[in-house]
Amino acid sequence: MRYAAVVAGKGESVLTKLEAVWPWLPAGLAVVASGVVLVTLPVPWRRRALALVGVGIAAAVYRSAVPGVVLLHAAVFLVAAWLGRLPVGEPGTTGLRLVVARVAMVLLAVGAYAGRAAGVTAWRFPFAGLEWAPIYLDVLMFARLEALLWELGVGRVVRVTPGEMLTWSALPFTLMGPLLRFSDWQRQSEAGAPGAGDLLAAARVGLLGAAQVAGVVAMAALHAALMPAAGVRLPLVLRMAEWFGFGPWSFYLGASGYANLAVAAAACVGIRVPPMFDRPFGRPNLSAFWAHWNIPVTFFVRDVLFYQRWGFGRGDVYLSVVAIFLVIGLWHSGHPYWAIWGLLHGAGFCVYVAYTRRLRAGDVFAVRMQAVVPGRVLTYVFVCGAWMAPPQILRIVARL
Amino acid sequence: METRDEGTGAKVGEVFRQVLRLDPVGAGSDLRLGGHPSWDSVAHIDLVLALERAFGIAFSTVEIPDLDSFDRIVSAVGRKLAARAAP
Repeated sequence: MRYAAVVAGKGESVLTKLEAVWPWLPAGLAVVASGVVLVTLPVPWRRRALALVGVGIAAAVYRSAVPGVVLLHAAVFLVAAWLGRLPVGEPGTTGLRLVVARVAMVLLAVGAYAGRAAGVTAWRFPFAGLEWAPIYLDVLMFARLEALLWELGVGRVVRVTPGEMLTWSALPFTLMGPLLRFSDWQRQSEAGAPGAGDLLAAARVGLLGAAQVAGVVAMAALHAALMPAAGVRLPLVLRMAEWFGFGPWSFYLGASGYANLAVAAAACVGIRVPPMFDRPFGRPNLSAFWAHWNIPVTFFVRDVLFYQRWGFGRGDVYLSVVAIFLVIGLWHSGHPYWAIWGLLHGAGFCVYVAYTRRLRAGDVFAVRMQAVVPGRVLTYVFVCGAWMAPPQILRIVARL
Repeated sequence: METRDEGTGAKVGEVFRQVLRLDPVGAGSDLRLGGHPSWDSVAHIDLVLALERAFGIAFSTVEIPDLDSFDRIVSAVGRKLAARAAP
């Protein structure tokens, strides 16, 4: 419906229409612009220009939220600087550094959630004719800062300098992902100039990203042509097309398109950024889907939460699974939709864990199921269903 | 004569075969977590628990993500055993 209204809308600029169907437009333009600037500069200037370009782009993307972004990063930097002074523990030990990092991570998470619930993030103060946000935290920034604290705690990052923090916070390919881990940036910050292979890879990934964004626009046009006007109840076939086609694919192509443009921009300065998506749809099971969906965030949460033992000697994988997906759900937003979405994925993943354990143990029933159940179809239907089901569940709960 | 590292590697390989139904030597020396359908994050948990039982050692939660290849696991187990044997 949204597409139909937007594509048919008259008097709106092309950019407005494009942003309505591709919400990553500001960040996408930022990475494309930075890629063009970086690749056209002489090689010795590229690194220095990166910081400058990054700060400019961060200001353009965050706009009135800049004071909030700066304040939050300054606060986290103070904690990071303190962590950097504590000794790195022996491998596998839980030293003071890790304890402090964990406390800081919990405080940041609780503060973010409570602040959002209390409406603190909506505060504005007027200055120089503009309404500025003194506190700002988006979901990817939250993940990035949590990842930084974690890496400092476990010693993957020993210390952070103010210059590194400033550059990393404002890199065009960290603002909306996919460069989540500070260690990935720090390790490469002194890397040499990009080779011909890097630039070729940048062109290939950039073209793929552009094609994916074009796919989103094409889907929006097709959606506008197929769907009836707003307020009309959709027939089943169109609802199925919405749930299992337009909805999931437009989001995936939009996010993956942006991420690939960001990967290309990073390659222009010889920085290798991990992919954000790797053909997640059509994977044979939920584990494989998650291993290829929003990869930096998934792997970070896996390392920090999934491998936790929660105080049990043997660990409880089912408890970890439910906790991890509930946290991922609430990471998106505190709305009950995301809590239900997380619990659905948690339940689905628990079924997968139980099944795969029986399969590995040679259980006859599990082996038969493997031969009969079409895993790729089931996984796709489940993933799409988990996006579609929460509103229906909330409606049923409200009736009860 | 079999060295201690070879002995550890063979025993780790046996745990791989039992838990993942996967022969680490047959799968190639670059076998990595996520690089084979049998070795996903769920199987990784079971693998770590089985290694702890087999060798009488314990990995902390911050070590588990680093155990992402057969070679790294053999090295980590070897280090734990050496630390335990040290006076």
